[in-house]
Amino acid sequence: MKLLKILSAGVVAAAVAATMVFSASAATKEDVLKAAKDAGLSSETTQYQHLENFLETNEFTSEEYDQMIAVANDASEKYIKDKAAELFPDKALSELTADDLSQIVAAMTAEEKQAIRDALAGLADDLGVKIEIGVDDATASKGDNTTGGDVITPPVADTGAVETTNTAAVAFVGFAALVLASAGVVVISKKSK
Amino acid sequence: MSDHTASHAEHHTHHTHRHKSSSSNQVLRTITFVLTPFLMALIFLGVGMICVSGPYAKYKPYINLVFNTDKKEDDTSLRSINKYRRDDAKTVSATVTEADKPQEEAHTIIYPYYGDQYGTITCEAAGMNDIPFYVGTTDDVLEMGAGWYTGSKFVGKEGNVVIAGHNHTFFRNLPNCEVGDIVTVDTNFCTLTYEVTERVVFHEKDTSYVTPKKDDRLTMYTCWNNGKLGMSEYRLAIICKCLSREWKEVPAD
Repeated sequence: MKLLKILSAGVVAAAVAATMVFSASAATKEDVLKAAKDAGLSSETTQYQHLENFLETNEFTSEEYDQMIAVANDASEKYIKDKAAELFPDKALSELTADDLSQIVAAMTAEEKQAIRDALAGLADDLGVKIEIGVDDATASKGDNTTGGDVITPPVADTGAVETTNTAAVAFVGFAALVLASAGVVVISKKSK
Repeated sequence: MSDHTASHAEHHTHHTHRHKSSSSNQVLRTITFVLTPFLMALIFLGVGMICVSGPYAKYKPYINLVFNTDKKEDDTSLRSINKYRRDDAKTVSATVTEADKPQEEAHTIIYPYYGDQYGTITCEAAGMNDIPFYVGTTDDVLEMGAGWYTGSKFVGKEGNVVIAGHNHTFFRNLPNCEVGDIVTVDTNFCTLTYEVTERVVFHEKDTSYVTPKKDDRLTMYTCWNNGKLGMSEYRLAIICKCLSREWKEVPAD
């Protein structure tokens, strides 16, 4: 009877261990979002929303989600954690606001920012994600088509009438006409003397 | 005799000189008479163009509205519908069950491609009827309709859905929205009904109205120039709370 109990306990323990191993490799996009939040990216930021939208519209394997989590944890450990502790000692990383994170990023050196950019670029390469950075937007896409979650644009768009260079051209032509006319008047008045 | 001859010669020379001078003066006068009106017109034109260039910038949107001078040619490549995706791009969708409403049936959300038409917005009280809105807020998208901001919640998801539009085209009636007005957002997978709860004018550097929120809302905004058209550093936001969500049957792709 005692042997049976020991064997049963061993089987249960092995089953639980196997489950844990299975769960650890079955990362999901929710795990990635949680990792990003724990790394200091507040869920109240447009950057977090961009990440969420990107993950919703692009498919990745659980191993690839694990990779994303690893990069987030590494960046947080190396570049964010210490600065956050110094600037906001009373807050956990997951409690940082968008303004807090801006201050932390502002306190980073150029080398640290470049290191984070390099890590993200390396991750994008590994995941087959193509990144294009334009003047006012950036695109991260996996294939030929750009989903709504693939594009990052400024938070507040220009929604007034779009000004063109025509007004400058109008003013220039007017000024040129004035100069030519004035020159003509001067020439004629000299000839008339 | 020689004095007479000299005098005659001198008179002839003088006469010839006077004749020549009269001829050149005549030519000069002719040129002056002909040219002067043109030079005057050129001066007035130059001054006028310099004076008008300022107001021209201000009233160009009105001129464009009348003469519709901003037309663009259609793209006829493989991406004839939308340059951001191929014509044969598959629909991206997900079957969703709300975590806190397990008793409800699962429904389908469609995630559109950038540049796709996402749906339409109606606020009858403000004179906004079936205003098309697209995915994205870059200039090329905002020329086609209002634009859903890609850093906000997808339509149908709970949170802050943000839609922007130009104040001289698709969102020119947005300032007519008043608190209590009903706004309907219709897509091919759901229809959402909102009620206007707040009107806010904010500076373009203030991103707090477009960030994620815990409550379920729609934020529509456009440039605010104290009721006039044109660019501005300020935006007018119409904030609405979600009243209901109606899911539609989505056929398989």
